Amino acid sequence: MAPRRIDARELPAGSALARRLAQIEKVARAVTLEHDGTPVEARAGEPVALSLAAAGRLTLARSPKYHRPRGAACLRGDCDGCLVRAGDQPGVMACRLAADSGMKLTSQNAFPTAGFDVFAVTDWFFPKHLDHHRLMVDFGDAVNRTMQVFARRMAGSGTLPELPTGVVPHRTRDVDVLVVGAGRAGLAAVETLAREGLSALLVDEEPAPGGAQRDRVDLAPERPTVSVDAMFDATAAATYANETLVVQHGAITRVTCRARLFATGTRDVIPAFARNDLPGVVTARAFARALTWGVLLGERVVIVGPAATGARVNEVLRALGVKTVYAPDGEVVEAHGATAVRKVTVREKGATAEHRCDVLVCADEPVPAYELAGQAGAGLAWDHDRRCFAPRSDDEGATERDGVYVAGTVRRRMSDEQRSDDGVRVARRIARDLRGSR
Amino acid sequence: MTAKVMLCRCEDVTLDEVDEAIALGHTDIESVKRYTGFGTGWCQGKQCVTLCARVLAERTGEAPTLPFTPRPPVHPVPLGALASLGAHGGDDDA
Amino acid sequence: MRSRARVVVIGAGIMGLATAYNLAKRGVTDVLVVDRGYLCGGASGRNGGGVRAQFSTETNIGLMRESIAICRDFAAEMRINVWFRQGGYLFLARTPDKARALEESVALQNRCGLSTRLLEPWEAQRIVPELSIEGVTRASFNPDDGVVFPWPFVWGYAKAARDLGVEVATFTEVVGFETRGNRITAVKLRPTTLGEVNRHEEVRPAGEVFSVACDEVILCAGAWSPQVAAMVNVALPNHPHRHEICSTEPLKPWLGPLVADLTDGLYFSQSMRGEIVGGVSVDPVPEGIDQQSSSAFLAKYARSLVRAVPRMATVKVLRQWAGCYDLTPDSNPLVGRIAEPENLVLACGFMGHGFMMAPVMGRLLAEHVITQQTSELFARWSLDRYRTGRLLHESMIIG
Repeated sequence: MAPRRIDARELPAGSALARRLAQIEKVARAVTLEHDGTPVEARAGEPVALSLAAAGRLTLARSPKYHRPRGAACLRGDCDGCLVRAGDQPGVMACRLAADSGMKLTSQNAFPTAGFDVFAVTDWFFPKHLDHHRLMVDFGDAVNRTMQVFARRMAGSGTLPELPTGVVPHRTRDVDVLVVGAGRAGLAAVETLAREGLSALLVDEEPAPGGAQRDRVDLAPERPTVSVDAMFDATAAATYANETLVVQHGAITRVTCRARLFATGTRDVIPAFARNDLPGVVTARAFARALTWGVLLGERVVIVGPAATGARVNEVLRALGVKTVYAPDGEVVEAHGATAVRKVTVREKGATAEHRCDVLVCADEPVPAYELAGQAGAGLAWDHDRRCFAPRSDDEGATERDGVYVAGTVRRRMSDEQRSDDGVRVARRIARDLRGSR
Repeated sequence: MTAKVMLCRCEDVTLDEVDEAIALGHTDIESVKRYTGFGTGWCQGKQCVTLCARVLAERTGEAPTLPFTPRPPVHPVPLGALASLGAHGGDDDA
Repeated sequence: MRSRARVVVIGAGIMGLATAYNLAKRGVTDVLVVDRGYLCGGASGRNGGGVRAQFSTETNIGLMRESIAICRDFAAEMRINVWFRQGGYLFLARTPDKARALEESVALQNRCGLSTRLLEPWEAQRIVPELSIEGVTRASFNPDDGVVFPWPFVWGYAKAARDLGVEVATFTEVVGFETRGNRITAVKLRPTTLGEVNRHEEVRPAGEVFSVACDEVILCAGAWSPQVAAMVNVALPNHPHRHEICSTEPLKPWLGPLVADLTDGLYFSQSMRGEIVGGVSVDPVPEGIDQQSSSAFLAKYARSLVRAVPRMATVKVLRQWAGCYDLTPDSNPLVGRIAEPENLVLACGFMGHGFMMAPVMGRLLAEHVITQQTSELFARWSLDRYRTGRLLHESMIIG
């Protein structure tokens, strides 16, 4: 079965997700998009990647070297899965694009279509990997040059826009503290900063506050109130010694500040196994996020990994009557399928089993989103416990770079309450440091 | 689709390729990044640094020290928006 | 690591490795190349990969013709693809003085036998139809210039040199020299870590310092050369100058040549992966070795690029980085033996085009070390010119 939309009535009345969906359905406005010339029904404002998935359009592009099928995998702008051409603009992440009437979307790097691509032969021709360093170096100069001409033709994903567009004006902001991330830690921090008499600007790439909670299928909808200055749908895209660039709706706000607090949380990663890049292989948070928008990414679901999101998703799916295989202690050995996942081999407690499925949910423990803190100059170190990199900070979230702080799960695993407490603690430290430096 | 283990899906870098790089003596993460091209695509390492660091740690028996230098921007930024920063006359509300 | 080597090369960038390879090819295989970081960590791994013969001095034009020939044969000889694509270099001038400089260089290039053509703006637009020629008064185009992917040159030379017996030691830093009389007798080394190299942390109290005895030292440390030379009391006039680059999302091929605007220092080309890679000159830059990225660069680059190609406005930047040019006061390199210590050979001050010159310089330096003879070129490029005042010039510097 293909992915489909679900509605609140399919869920136990009064359950958290049912209430969320009821709320969405109340305001839903139907719009029509176009994908590769075919009309697609969508709900205004939802991520286009989900509109396409709900219409059964999972394979959206082809990968650069082997032309392997690509589909949405993280739904958070952290991967290459859902890149499309939107109107005249190449390389748009469909998970970060809000559906609107009349949008024209086109597949990229696919000959002739994303579903069937003749250049997928490259994948079979080089079953292990294509050694581009030594490709055709042994067959003489002429062959080598012909290969290079061909390789250049094959390169790239989107095409240059047809039309010139203008320069988009920027804005500037100057505040005491820039807080990136409106999850529990970031929200608690800005409130504390305000009480301490500091001006703070809160930015978050999601359309509303809540952070990881927004993707929680077990929590009723809530809209935390933000009393401070905040920008949503706004990505802190780069941070430098003297300023941070925040991109909102294609325009930049240039933020200068005395302290930067990165409460950027974590991200899910799809682990290493054979065919881990198949469309239909998604992170637990991506699957949960789709559910919160009323989109069920598959009817036969295999969930592998210990992260709490996996368990929560499993519970909701059971309530929906969806068949799941849930292996919290398992690990994926291999996924199978030609253009989308059809079967998965899972090893759990020493036994290996194969399960038919149309979605594989990878519920590995999430890893810290350390990049911004790292760019700002925070030291980074290997976290032996989580087997990933994390920013180095003291008890109060101060990093080794003056004026750069971290709070919440980007530092370490924390319960919901601990995240808020951490935001308060780090904000107090910032206030103390800024008073000291006046 | 063949049974490749994709460590970096943006640039189609496989486990086999990273293993070959290590075998050729590229045993630090910056060198592996350069030799295989992992982490230089759309996600700039958000997905793949962790996976490659884990493989390196397993193969070399040493705990990773640092990820490769996180380069700005963390999310793609259109040139048309950046171009405004280079001009005078930004809309200043500060 | 060996305890003595006939030649110690400092710096495993393309200059040092090309020299080591050429030494080994000529029978001098007892060579140790040391570098404080990893391969491609310095300017050789951070440049835009441009290779051109469009220069404004006969010397540079001649050398670059040979380098271009080496680039063309590199994949076959070194068995590694360098993706050399001769899409040409298209220079643009927007001011009368830059137009004049361009006209003079093209005349000289033609006298030297290059097929460079001086163009009217509309002719430049015929070569790159996406280009806006507003304000452009003159252009020049040479179809033999091109771009390479820089990194495989480094790996190619390193592997070929190692196969011939050269030792290439990365994460090994020079901390001093042992001297006797007018000669260096040994190089003092210390192992480094990725943490030190990448985080620019203060040099820690010595790890295990050890010495490698040697007959000859070749200094190919690029922007780091002055600080290494200072360890043996040699004052070099060159200095590091940060240069930033960025790369966009990969696009299907549309841009043939590397385009360089002499007026604002903008240059850009399309890599084999489809990214538009380029830079622009930014002033002022921080002093010393600094490889941090700045928003000022991105801002200026984006503004210049969108002016040059308005259709790029919605194309996105994926990554920016920085490296160090190695600038000399007269825009020409510092090459060859010096008076004291007499067994120190310089190969630095290459101004941001050391990468493209290295293939030919590697040969010349190896011959210089083996024959002990000084050519007319090396005499002109010697450190001595700063004492005698016989300074040089070069107007075709980008960025």
